[in-house]
Amino acid sequence: MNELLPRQAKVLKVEEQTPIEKLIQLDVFLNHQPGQFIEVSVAGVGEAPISICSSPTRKPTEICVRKVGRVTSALHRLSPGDRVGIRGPYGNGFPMEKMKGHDLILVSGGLGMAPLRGVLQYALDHRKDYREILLLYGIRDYSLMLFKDEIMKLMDSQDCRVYLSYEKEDEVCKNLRKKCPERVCEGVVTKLFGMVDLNPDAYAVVCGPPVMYRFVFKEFMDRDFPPERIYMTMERRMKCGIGKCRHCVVGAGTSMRYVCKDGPVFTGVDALQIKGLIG
Amino acid sequence: MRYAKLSKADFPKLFEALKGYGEVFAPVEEKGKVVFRKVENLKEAKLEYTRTLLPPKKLFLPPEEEILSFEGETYTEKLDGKKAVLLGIHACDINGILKLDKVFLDAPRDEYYARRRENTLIVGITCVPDKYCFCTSVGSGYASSGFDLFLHDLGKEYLVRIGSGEGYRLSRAEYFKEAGEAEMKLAAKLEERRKGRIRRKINLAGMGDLIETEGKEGWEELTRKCLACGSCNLVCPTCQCYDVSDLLTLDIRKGSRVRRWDSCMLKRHALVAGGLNFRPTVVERTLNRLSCKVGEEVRCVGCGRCTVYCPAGIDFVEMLSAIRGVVK
Repeated sequence: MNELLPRQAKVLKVEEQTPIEKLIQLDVFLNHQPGQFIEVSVAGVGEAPISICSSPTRKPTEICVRKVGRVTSALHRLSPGDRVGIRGPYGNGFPMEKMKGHDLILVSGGLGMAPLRGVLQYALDHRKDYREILLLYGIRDYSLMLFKDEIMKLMDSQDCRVYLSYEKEDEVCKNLRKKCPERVCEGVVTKLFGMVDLNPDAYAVVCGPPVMYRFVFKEFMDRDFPPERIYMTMERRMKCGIGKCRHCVVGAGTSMRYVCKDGPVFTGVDALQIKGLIG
Repeated sequence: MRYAKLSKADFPKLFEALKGYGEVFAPVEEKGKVVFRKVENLKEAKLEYTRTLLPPKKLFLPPEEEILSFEGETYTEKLDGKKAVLLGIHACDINGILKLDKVFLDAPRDEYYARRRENTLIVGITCVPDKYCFCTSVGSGYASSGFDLFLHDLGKEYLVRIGSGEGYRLSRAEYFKEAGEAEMKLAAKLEERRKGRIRRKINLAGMGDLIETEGKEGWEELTRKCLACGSCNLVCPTCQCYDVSDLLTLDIRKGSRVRRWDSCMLKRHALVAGGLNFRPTVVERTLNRLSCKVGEEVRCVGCGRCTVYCPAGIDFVEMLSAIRGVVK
């Protein structure tokens, strides 16, 4: 089998999530792990690694795409019925089985909510298998919040405790803070750590912009949370997705890893050992 | 290992047999440099040489190749099934290919590379070392596997090591003779003499840790001369990095997906969409390159090309020796 040959997937729906992000539904079943990614091709434009933002327990498969480059701009131009090429799923994903029977602490910043949504959906679909589910979500402002309906619904539900931080106050955020001051605050996502008790028996699942990891990791370490129970998914230039082209390689000296093949999910122990993994 | 001997007078016969298998690529002198190129007769080949400009990996992972063609969103793979022979390749380069095999043949295997590897016969030959060679320090001065035939130059004849079934079938031709004890002894003696000529040494013990712990000032000094041009990557037998881009025809309905060698020393190597660069400085890129070559495992085969062809005159061995010195 030629791993570099994409297969076709039909676009079912394209939905604007924020002014810069679109949710694209694909008519394809991947049987993936939350946290895995696919290489999405637009013929003539190129290929880009995009994390799958839906759980394998739900159909159809969804990706959430921020318009940042050539391929993602082309993906934003898609309409239902169009076709894209896909390869994958690739990468290790989050250890959903291993985390069963424990609390989950999901920490996400901005677009980092996309891969974590797959984790969240999976856990909600196996609600009895997990104990408490906490979501700590940092956004710039309400307009940039992803999966607004789903998150707002969860804020009122018993299935998951949602904590929200925002950097720029707008009407919606202000009202949320007034309504729920013990769970909503102004600031970056690390500020939310002051509002929660970390159960050391929990598992943490983290995704956000590259700059976020160092600060989130420090919050966990400052609270003596075990690094081996932290799972973080990384962004790098994953051109081939299968550990050949070497653009996504991280580390130095004796500890080198491919983000595409050995990751994109790494533990806090990896963060301690692999130079430059979290900056 | 099975051995045979071949008289140099009979080499043209072997050459014809190889040609019967597929296109023969051999070292050829061109503008003062030796390069692997397709040859039609044995006389074109320069079999006594030191190193080619580009390593033979170009036959398995071409500098540029079309991997897919597309029309609309339908992709078609472009796989190559041509038979070929790589004649006159040195032990260091054979070991380089074995290291690339680990990358491209490990699951999921790269079909393009794998097909070419399967369809190419490798005929090795003893080398003519110079002062830049240090293969014996990195364990690649001898090829124990990775070839179909390996020719040890004994003067008037070759002692031939047979490394595969295809090699064995070739060696059953009447011009191959049985090798005796005298030829074996002579080959061993010449092999010792050849290795003795490789004076350059490098101590790679614990190199990964030394690279990781080298300080900022040390790195800045080490990379001060580097132009970040990527020449070292292009001539390296074990550099694997490639980039992929789509090319369209003028009517924008059809096109091809092309992959090209890339270089980890170039600024854009770790750049992601949105403008974030994970290795923006020459220091970070050098740290990555050296870690890749000698950090976690030894992927360097000691061919000396990166030193010989560095336009800034950076010496790979001296650089690593300096790291050992600085940290010590």
